[in-house]
Amino acid sequence: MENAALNHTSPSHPRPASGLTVDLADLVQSLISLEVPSREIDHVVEAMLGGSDAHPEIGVAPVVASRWLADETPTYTAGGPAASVLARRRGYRLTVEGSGASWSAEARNLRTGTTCRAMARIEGAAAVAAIAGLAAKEATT
Amino acid sequence: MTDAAELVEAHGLAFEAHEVAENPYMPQESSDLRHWLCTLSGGPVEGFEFYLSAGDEACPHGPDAAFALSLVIEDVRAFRECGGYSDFARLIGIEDDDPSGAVAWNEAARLAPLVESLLESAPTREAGLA
Repeated sequence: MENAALNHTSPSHPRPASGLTVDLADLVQSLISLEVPSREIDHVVEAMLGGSDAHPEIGVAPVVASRWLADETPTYTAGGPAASVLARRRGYRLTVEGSGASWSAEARNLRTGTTCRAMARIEGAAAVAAIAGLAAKEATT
Repeated sequence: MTDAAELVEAHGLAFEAHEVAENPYMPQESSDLRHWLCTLSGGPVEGFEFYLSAGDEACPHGPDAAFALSLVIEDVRAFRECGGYSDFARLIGIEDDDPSGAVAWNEAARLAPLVESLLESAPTREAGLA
């Protein structure tokens, strides 16, 4: 979902004085560690991957900005259709399988054929981790 | 993942893919993609036709049965996750009032029961959409 506040602040927003940033590898690490859905992580996903362009690295400002429109941030880590929408916005297809506390997801770029697979304890986290991992791969190529 | 290759083998599905100029059910800009009209036959489906679009790098020699089936299974799964047409429009990245959305919606609704019957009748595994 487009987030006007984020579009105004990224990608050229000033970094915080602390220099604290989050990259896609950090996001994947957070996702695969989740045991329950997290709205905090949903905001980071929205800030990094929710717009028309992926942001491989962000400071805290876009995440704070996304909270201003918190109700508009999809519940990515809760599973369900939000992750599929996120995948398709990037031109990816997503397959997810699992049950209980073991979920596996694979994101595939239909244009390039590049894939990324991720495993996590909850469905939404596995799905978004696969998307974020594929975006990270593409950002480095 | 739902193992599309296993389904193809289990049902003994025959597959054909003919390259076409466009995918009539794809509302987004897709001039950088190649498109195929695919047909799967065998088991519970006979002459099951669907369109597939992919980049040249992803599919340099054209689609095979497992690749094509894996994509259509994913499309149906995503369609079934939608709570209604607005969710579907968001999924495929169009506005609610875009007329191309209804065409894509109707096609997804046509494909869904066919894919599901294929999955549910898989002879060698417990079937279900991933």
